[in-house]
Amino acid sequence: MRAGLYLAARFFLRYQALSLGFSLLAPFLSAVLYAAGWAATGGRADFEKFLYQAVGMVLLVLAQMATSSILWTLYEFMRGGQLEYLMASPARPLGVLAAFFLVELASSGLSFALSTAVLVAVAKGPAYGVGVLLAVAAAAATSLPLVGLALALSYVLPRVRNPSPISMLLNVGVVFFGGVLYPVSVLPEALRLVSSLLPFAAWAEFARSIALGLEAPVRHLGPLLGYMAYAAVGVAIWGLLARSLRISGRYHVW
Amino acid sequence: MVGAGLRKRFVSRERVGFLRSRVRVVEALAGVDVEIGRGRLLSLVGPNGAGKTTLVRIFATLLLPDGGRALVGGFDVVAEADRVRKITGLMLYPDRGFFGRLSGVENLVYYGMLYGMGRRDARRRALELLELVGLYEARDRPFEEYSSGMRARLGLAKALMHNPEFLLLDEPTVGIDPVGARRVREIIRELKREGRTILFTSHNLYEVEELSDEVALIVGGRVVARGPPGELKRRLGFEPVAVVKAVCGGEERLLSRGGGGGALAELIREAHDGGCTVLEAYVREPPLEEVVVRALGGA
Repeated sequence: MRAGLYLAARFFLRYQALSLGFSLLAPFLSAVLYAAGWAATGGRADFEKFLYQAVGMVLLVLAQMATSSILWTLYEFMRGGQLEYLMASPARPLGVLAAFFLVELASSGLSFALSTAVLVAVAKGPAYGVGVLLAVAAAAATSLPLVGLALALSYVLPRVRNPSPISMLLNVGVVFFGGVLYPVSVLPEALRLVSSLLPFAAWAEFARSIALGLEAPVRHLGPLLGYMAYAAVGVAIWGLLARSLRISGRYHVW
Repeated sequence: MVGAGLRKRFVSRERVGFLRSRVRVVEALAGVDVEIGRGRLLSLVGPNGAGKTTLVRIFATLLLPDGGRALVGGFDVVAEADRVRKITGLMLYPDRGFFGRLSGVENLVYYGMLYGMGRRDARRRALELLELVGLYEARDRPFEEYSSGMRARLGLAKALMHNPEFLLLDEPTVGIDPVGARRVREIIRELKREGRTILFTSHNLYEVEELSDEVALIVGGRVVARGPPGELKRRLGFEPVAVVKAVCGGEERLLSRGGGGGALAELIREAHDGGCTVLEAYVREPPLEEVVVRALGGA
């Protein structure tokens, strides 16, 4: 884990300025879109919906870090030959991946959270700004089911040799069924069922109720704990992947 | 380092049509026995696909053998993989396994930390090794700016970060210019002097002959011949040749005869008896390359 933290810190600190720039861009563009909508509708654009989506954007970024980013990191390790050396060392490969995730959260995730918190604080009051920061911290702390889902899908990476299809699948899950940009309640019944099978919506609702409702999301804890099964399944499948790599020798994707 | 009856098969699917595929089985190791004494260097020599890298990877705990047993330092590579990893240094490709945007020293610190070293200790060790492999001046340059030779030397430094007793070096000089390859060989020779046990593979038989205590010729997943380079040559019917260059009656002649020092002494005596002046006398060992090519059935 320490080696992974060292490595990830060296990676992400190099791009800190860039990531800060991107994080500022997201709320700025959202604000421009809202302003355009407000002007076009003669002031009828719903400000609460704008804030809903601004917070949703941060959650979307966090979800991508917990899912696609982990897959891409694994893929880069396979492509560069680092995975083999990692597996031949006494370190735990999962610890190195987790370290990458944590450092990415602490650098890029925090930048997004801060810029959105400032926006929400200006629009709704300082308490809500603090609420956004707490919500992001809570979302990060409860993102294990998302990480588990990514780990479970990483099993097919040595076969497909390209993380794009898998990460696209995960992104579809987050954007369409995840309740990050709009509430799941607007989905048709059948799609709501799909959404309930995935951990995203409960996770997003949990975080959003802190950020915009300023409430302790106790009622969301139960479902979220249930979705923790994804984390256990992900770790178990990761173990199977490690074993299958030792049988097949397919550590690389070049 | 001991391998007894090691077997490994790779099974893959080969697409033969839009919906059809067939199973392809490759027998990479078909019962390999090897043993490397402490402080010795064994080279694996053989054609591509012979099973050399598979054997290295089994010793590195990266591959599970289908049969047989492999021990490193007395530890089983399957049942005690973690203990094997702590005492083994690995170099699989001279130019892979590093992070391009990180400097040489940062890459080494990361690898040191993977083996449980603290950051400060890892940095101290990394600088020592960069000095050893002649990369100290380039320590802060990004890895992506390193030449092939520099990358190979960094690969060796990486394998040594945790000061392992056992080293697995799979073609460490492949794709490197002659000067860089010579530097890598010098380092390997130094490691041997330090008493490390080394499993080495290479297609460069000159360096195999130069470095090895023993050579194992591996073909089709089987060790077909094994022994010190000189002994291997004799066993495969190659003898040293005594050569004398002399001037006889104003004319330069080259006299040669199969055999070692005894044959050379005889030739020199005969040259003197014949009134010749000996210019040069030596025993020429047949190059290992010749031996291996013939053993493999080549020209």
